[in-house]
Amino acid sequence: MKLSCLRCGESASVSCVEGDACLVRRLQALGVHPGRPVNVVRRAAFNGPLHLRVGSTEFFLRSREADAISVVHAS
Amino acid sequence: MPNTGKSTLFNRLTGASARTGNWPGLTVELLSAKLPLGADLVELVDLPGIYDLHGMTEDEHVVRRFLERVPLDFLVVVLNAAQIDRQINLLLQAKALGVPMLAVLNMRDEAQRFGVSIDAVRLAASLGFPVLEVSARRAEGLDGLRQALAQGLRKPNTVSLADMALRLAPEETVQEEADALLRMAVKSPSELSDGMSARLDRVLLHPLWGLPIFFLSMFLLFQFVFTAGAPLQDGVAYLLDLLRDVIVQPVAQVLPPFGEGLLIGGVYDGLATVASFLPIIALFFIVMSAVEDSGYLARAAFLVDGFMARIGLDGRGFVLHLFGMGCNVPAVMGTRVMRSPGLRALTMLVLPFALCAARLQVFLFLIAALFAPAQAALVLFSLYVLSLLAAVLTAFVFKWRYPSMEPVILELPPYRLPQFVTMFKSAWGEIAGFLQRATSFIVLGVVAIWLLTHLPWGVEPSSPASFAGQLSASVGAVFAPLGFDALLGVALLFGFIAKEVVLGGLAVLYSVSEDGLTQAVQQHMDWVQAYSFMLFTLLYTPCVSTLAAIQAEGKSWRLTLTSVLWSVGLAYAVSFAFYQTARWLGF
Repeated sequence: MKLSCLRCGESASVSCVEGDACLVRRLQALGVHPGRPVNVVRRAAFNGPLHLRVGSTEFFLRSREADAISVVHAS
Repeated sequence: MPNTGKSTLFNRLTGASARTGNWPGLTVELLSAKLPLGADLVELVDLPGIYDLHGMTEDEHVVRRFLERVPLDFLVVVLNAAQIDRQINLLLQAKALGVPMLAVLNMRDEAQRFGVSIDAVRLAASLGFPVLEVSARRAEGLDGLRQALAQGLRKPNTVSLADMALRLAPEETVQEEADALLRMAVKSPSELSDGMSARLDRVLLHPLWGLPIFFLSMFLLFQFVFTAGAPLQDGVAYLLDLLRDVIVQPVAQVLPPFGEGLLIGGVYDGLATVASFLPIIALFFIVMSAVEDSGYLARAAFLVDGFMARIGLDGRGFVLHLFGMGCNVPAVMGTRVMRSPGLRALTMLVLPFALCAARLQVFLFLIAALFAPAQAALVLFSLYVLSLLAAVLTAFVFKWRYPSMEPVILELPPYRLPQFVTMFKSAWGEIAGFLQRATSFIVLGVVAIWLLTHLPWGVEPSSPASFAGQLSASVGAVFAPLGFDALLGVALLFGFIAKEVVLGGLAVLYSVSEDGLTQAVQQHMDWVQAYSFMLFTLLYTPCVSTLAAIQAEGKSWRLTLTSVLWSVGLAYAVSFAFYQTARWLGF
């Protein structure tokens, strides 16, 4: 499922990152790799960006960019 | 890497000698400094922070072009020790270049706070180059770094520029190697958070209170910059007047009257205009760098990004716009925090519509002269609303011309206490940069206006017979539909120097002292004309100093020209629509 389906506070495991090459590289550089756990910390008001935590790194990205990331619930 | 404290480390190593400079084949300026190492003097260049040596952002292109074109002896890669789990990839990419290098794991204090422990010795052994843990903020480990640098420099770099270009091209994945290294030499807890940042975020990024707290803190910072700035600006103005009366005036008297006027009314006043901006620029960048270093700028961008995304800007543009309401010049310079050229250009087009303190001064005067006290607040408020509408409209119109190609992904670094050294260095650097880049532009602008109002030879200054007077008479027909007479047109010309000069200009044109200006204005204008005039003053061309900043930052005459033509056109359309409608309605 898409990362944007997660509720705030939920964690899941990255299953794949696909889309614009520039975006994918950037996400990989921030540590978003398949198998890595990702945590949706919060979402900003007015359908704003998502605040994510991956490892020791926190960043935000817009919904459009977040759609490049697919996740599965960690079992 | 961005957010690794690279600039702090650079400052610590080089002291005050850093300067920005152009490099062949590069469109951006890079900071460099001479660094004494033992008996040698080496030049240290601060490259932009990047995530990925083969990445596609503007900064990553800049780094590659630099490595391809500038011969270098040694490479220093700075990482954030706390984030080594993902940053080690860059280290391996750099290693593949084959250049003598070392790695700096900065922020070791923060890594300890996070519970990350790194075996630097083992890491160095398997990588084959030194790995040093330092804390630039606390100035720990810097002597060791200097020694390692001096030692590393003894081995010559045998990689030619052509080889370098080849080695920058391939895209092998280093992921497996990175994972193996991490397993061997790094221990980190599974859930990483320093607790404090998370707790602060729960308050500062709260869905309900987050925005009010943001506006309140921006308001307080704004108040600080401009209350502390006002006496400083007065002080600078006093010193400049003193300098003019005691030294420049007596010296200039040896010149013929025309030369004396040109020197004082043109060149000296131009330099004085430049100087009058310095206190505000210094304070602005002290505050701005504190907000950025603390980690709050990225948070502010997060809070307002939802709205800003719709008009093609991002949350940082919002913060700059708020500060632009004090003065547009430092706000335009502050767009440097944005790395995408399209986004920067669009933000620079929007910022001059922020109703700055200089325009406020003109409006307060005209409103007091022509409106009843009961209406005054409403009139002023309407101007603020219009300035915001103009900004949003500008963003809408130009977001297709200046699209931002880079994905919007911004790191939210842990909260950190800003460092005084960094704050003051940033302020000092910006002042030096402003002096270097904007001085000639501003002085030329002021001299040109002086010449327009004082030529042809022997004419009474600013009278209808001067070039400025003739110009406004010839364009009088153009301004008539807005309700302006020829004199107001000349006053607007003065406003190009700085918006507050409009008032002084009007006083000269009406041949009254500034005290008698209220009466003169009341005789010459009714409220419809005055409001039309204020609308025009609000929107028309950025002042010469703001334009100088746009030109210096954007390095594009096209952008600067677009800024002038669009704002003048918009001002004309809005004033025209207002004046004609009001007259048609019978006011």
